[in-house]
Formats: sequence, structure tokens, C-alpha cells
Amino acid sequence: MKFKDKDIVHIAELARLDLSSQELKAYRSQLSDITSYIDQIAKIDLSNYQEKAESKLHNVWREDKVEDWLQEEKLAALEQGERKQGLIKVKRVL
Amino acid sequence: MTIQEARVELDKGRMSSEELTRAYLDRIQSLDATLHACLLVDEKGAIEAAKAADKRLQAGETGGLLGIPYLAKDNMMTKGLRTTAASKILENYIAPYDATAIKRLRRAGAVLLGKTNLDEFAHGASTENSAYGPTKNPWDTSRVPGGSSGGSAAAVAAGLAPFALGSDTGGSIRQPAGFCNLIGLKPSYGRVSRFGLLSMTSSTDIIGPLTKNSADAAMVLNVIAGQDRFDASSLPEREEDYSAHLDKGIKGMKIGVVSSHWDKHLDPDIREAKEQALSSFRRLGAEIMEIELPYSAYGVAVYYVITPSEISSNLARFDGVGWGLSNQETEGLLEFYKANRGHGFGAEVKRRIMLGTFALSSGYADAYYKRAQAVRDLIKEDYERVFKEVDLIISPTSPHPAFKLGEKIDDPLAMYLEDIYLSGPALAGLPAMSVPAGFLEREGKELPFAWQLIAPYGKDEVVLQAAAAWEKTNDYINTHPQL
Repeated sequence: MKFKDKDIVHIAELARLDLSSQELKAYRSQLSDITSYIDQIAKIDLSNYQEKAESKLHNVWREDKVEDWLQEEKLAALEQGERKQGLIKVKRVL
Repeated sequence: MTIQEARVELDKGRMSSEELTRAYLDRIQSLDATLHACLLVDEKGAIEAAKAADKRLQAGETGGLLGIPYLAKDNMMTKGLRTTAASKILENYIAPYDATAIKRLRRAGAVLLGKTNLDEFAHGASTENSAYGPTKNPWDTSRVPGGSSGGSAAAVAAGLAPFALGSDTGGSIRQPAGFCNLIGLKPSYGRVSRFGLLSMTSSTDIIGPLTKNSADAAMVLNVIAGQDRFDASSLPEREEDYSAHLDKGIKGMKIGVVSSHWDKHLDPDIREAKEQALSSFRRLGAEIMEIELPYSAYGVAVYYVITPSEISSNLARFDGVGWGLSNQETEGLLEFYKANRGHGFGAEVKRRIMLGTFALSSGYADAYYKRAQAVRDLIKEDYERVFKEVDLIISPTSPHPAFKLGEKIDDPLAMYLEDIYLSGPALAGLPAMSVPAGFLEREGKELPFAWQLIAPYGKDEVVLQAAAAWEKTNDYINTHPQL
């Protein structure tokens, strides 16, 4: 699959990646090469293929019981970002 | 020292865990500046754990991994310790909890020495994609140790720890083990909990051991394997004792070989070793049969659709909110996300995220992701069909020995093709193990190569059994790199 510049810009936007013009050029050629290799799967005959409904594990449940998070672990997990008054700070959305 | 040897010393009281731990910490201190296998050494934590193990030993407790030092790949959560996934985006991230595998090892009294280097987020086959610099192969420091668990492989090969944990998604335990003359076990999918393993490809990710021999691998699997309520994909049943299978031998075992695995794409020295290896297996009582796995030829293509797709989803959580690299200078949320991710992730990570985003995007998801999953089913079916006739499959682990640092870094597709024998078993979730198979000479240096043993899904004990039998026919595991 041959990507155009605008394809790569679009994918980078979807993936929320800020890329330099050098990176855009490099990825355009690399992704084109890689997908050309992958494109061999397009030729495989899947006319007799049926998606299976089975799987080894099915509906692995547990009791819907509230378990309190260890305070110390909770703080360790949440305190690594920007916080204010117990809430996680996020950039202006609108 | 192997785990078994250390076990004897500890149980007989000839050595304490603290002495053993200090000896490994010293060895890391003297050798790791050259190898760069470790990203973090936790001397304080290790000594504390060793002292606690010694108390248990003195109280009469013996066996298992009590008091045994080890290293863990830096994509596993280790409470209180920096965990980076070898990425800049997690440069200062402190793990708030232990991965289940780490928790089980702690309970068993094993001693965590530190964290090892890897390709960033486990994306790679050489450890050159680490944001903190590559690791060198102890057998030839101008060569890669393999990847993505290259730090773990180099460390165990250089004797920096009796064992290390790695993770395997498409070859990341097996390939570096093969390049470093180690046993590298990728357990069946679901055999070991993924809780606390930084997610890469959720449908194939698994933690496993890198050790000097198969008996050691069984000892580690005994501790880390088992159902975990925090991982809904973990298997409910397991063998009670994997070590019990080691002496069973392989008399009457049917072993399959695929002729295309041994053709002109394989290094001629490795190809030459094939017949002698098969003769050894025959002398042990096994029967060799030719088998076909036609859809495995598409293994790498399928893997590099599914893996980047799952990666693009799993790495969406790295957005700078709550943890990780966070550029406060940006205006607005979108710019914030793009700056953090664009600058925090390395080239290969971004490449895979882009590939995956594309493969899942509107207009392409059917042709790429959905089709790849269908072919994956066909690959799985090939193995199921073949395992009705044979008990085990042998292939080379890699098509060549360890390559030079820098040799493949500019050719992403060439790097992906490193997984040529390894992606099939990963996609099918099969237990697969790399075992030392001999040495060949390149530029005056002896380089190891390896065979891959593959068993039916869930039959991890069968690969251990076969590896143990193979080890009895040679002395490769007792050869060490000169450092």
C-alpha cells in the first residue's frame, strides 16, 4: 500500500502524535514498505473460513463485591500527575 | 551459578542469601558498565529481601526460589521502583504495585536485584530501541543480545543473576535466549498472569523465565504460573509441579519438522547442525516426522497487523495525564497529547502505533485487522491439525546468530523478519522454548544458536521434558562467554 503524505498526517492525528516533517517522510516510506509485505494476506482464500464462536475461557466472573483500594497504593498511583484539590488536572478541552 | 546450585548452597547453610545477593550485586557493579543489561539496581531492597529470606532459611524453610536473586525486565510493575518500559515517556514513573508474577516471587522469597533493559515497550528484536541505550551481547559485545528481553538475556548469560524474567509477545524471550545461549521459555498464553505487565499485545503477551538450564526454568514456572483473579485470561488449571516432568525422557515422542524452516533462508552453519540434532533426538527414542504448516508462512505478516493494532490501543493511555512525560507548556488538550506522545515515544513505538491506527481505521479495518485475525485462526488450526499426529515441533529459533549492533536498525521490515519462526506459536498461544543447540564461529568469536521446541496449547510440561532430554545429549549449557 502506497501512502501519500496526507494519509500519514491523518494517521498521526488519529494517533495523537506530533511528528516532524522528517518523521512524516520516514514513516511514509517505511509504512508503505511494511504494508506492501503485509498485503500478501490479501491473496489468501477465505471463502471457506468461518469465524468460530468458541474460546478456551468464557465469561470469567467474580463476585460484585467492593474491595477498598489500599490508601498508600492509591496515593502512589495518583500522585504522579498534576493534581489539584484531590482531582487530576487536565488541559483545557474546549 | 544455576538456581539448582544456589539452592543446594542455601539449603545446606553453606551460603546465605545475603552473601549470594551481595556477590551478584558486585558482579553487576563490575560488568554491567560494559554490557548495560540493567536499567536499575535496587541494592537496598535486595539486601532487605535477602535478609528476610535468610530468616526463613534459618527457621528451617528450604526449596523453591527462597533466597534466590533475580532480575526483572523493566516492563513489569515492581512496587516502589522506577519502571520505565525503556521509554522516555515513563522516565520517572514509580510502580505503585507489584505485577502478580513479581508478587508470587516475593512471597516465595526470591530476591529482586533490579530491572533489565529492553526494546522500548518491548517493541523490537535487538534491544536497540531502548531509549536508554542498547545492551551488548556478552558473547561478542559488538553484537546485539536480541530483544526485546535483551537485558534479561545478557544479564543471565553474563552471570549477573541466576535467572531473569522476560516477556514474549512474538519472540521476545526466545530470540534473545537463543542469541545468548540460554533457555528461554514462553509459556502457554494464560499460564502466567499478565497483571502488572505493561500491556503490548494483550492477546499474546506472556511473562516467562530466562535461565541457564531447563530444570531452573521449571523451578521459576512453578512459582509464577497459576490463575490470577486480576487477569481474566489466566488459565484455571496448571501442573502442580513442572519439575516432575524433567526426567521423563522422550522415548516414543513424535517430533515434527517443517522442511521450509530449514531451507536457504537459514544460516548454512545452523542448517548443517540439523541432521546431527535430529539423530540425537532419534537416539533418545523419538520419531521424527515431516509436517506442513502452510499458513505459518504468513505468521510475520499477520503478527505485524495484530500486534501494532493492539499496541495502538494499549498505548493510548500514555497521554501525559496522571503519569508519565507531561509538557505543561502546551495550549489545549489535543496539543498536550500530541506533544507528550510525539516526544515521549521513540521511533519504533510511533511506527507501530501508526501501523496499528491505520490497520484499525475506517475503510481499512476489514482488509487488515479482520483479515489478519482470520488468517491467525488458520495458523492456529494448522497447529491443531499437526498436533494430532505429533507431540512436539522443532524449528530453529532464529535464522542466524546474533547480528551486529546497528546492522538492522534502519530496516524495520528486516527486524520484523527476525520473528519468522517465532510468530506462529505466539499467535496460537502455544508453549515454546528456545534451547541452546551449539556454536558457530563469526570473526573469531564463538556465537550460540538455538532450537525452538513447541508443544500443544497448555502442555508447558512437554517442552520442559523435551528440553531436559536434549540437554543430556550435549554440554552447551555449560559453556559461558569470556568476560
